[in-house]
Amino acid sequence: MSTALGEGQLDALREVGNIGAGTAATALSTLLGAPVAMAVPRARVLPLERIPREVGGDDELVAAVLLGVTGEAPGHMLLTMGLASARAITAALLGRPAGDPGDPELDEMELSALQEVGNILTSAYLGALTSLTGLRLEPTPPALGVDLSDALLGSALAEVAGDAEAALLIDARIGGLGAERAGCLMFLPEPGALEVVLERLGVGG
Amino acid sequence: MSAGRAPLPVGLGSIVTSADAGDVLKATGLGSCVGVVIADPARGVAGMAHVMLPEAPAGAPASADGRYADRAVPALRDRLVALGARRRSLVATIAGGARMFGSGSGAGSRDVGRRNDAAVRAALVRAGVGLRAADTGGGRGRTLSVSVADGAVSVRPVGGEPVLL
Repeated sequence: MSTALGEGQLDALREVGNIGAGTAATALSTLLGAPVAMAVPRARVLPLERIPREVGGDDELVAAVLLGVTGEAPGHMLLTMGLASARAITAALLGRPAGDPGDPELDEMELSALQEVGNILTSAYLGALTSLTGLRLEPTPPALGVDLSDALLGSALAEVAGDAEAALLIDARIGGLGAERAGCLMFLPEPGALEVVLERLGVGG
Repeated sequence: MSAGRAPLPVGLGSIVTSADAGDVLKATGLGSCVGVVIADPARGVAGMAHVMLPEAPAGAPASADGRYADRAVPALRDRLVALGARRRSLVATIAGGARMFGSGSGAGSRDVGRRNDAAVRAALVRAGVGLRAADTGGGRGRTLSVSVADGAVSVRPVGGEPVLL
């Protein structure tokens, strides 16, 4: 992927991220019956190696949901949540006390609740992107992992990046549920898909 | 393991080598990535690569060598030899190659971990470096470290205790 996106193009992508993330935050808020905030997203093209550092977390335990995006602008969506936040979300959804935040083993109910959260956030995000661009986009079924942030991000990037040198990262921090940085929602479009999105936004190269 | 200084981090896609007996090299959070340690313990030279993908695409720059199994292994070997290691004394230890995203059908289906593991083993054979020990596969992240002084390698699974390999 070319790393030479103009500032106007990055602004347009940030706006897409903003609308997508805002819609996703509203959906999560409705689901949980509690306020969820999402920071204004950042949009930038980064060498793959730098993405884990930018997202942060390093050796924190996190839960991550990875979904493919199919349709006219394919790519991936990745949701990461600190383990304590993931447990708070599942507890709220399942109506039971939160489990031990230091224990990486989640039970079947918790795993499926988190996959559902990934589904809902991603569908809301992609729905907003579709309204904005008219592009048809569908999520694939979610895959879930609970482990060190670096281990999950490195693996997700290997799945996502293929032969790309760099990737466009549009990420929004999620706050709420007693945590300022509960999680991060990322959209990683494929290189070809990026051109399609930029074209539709009227800022094509 | 020698104590004292903070370990040198081996980040995603990078290669770190040392001939300083006080150094410990460490890759935190190997998921589907494979950490490749190659050392000449008698000479006190060791290095580690944090491999992310099995094969370099055509035209990938040399600066990205550490990212790909097929490029990282010979590059690491050559750097160690340049630091004074004897080629025939080099031994390798690898860890990682897990499947991190368990369920679901679409995403995670490339099974990069298993392919990385296979590609690293093949590259070691081509590079003429014997594999001394391996801890690969499964579904958990690992942290891998090597002490340059004696080439001792330890691996710690997430939520577990370090084990010498």
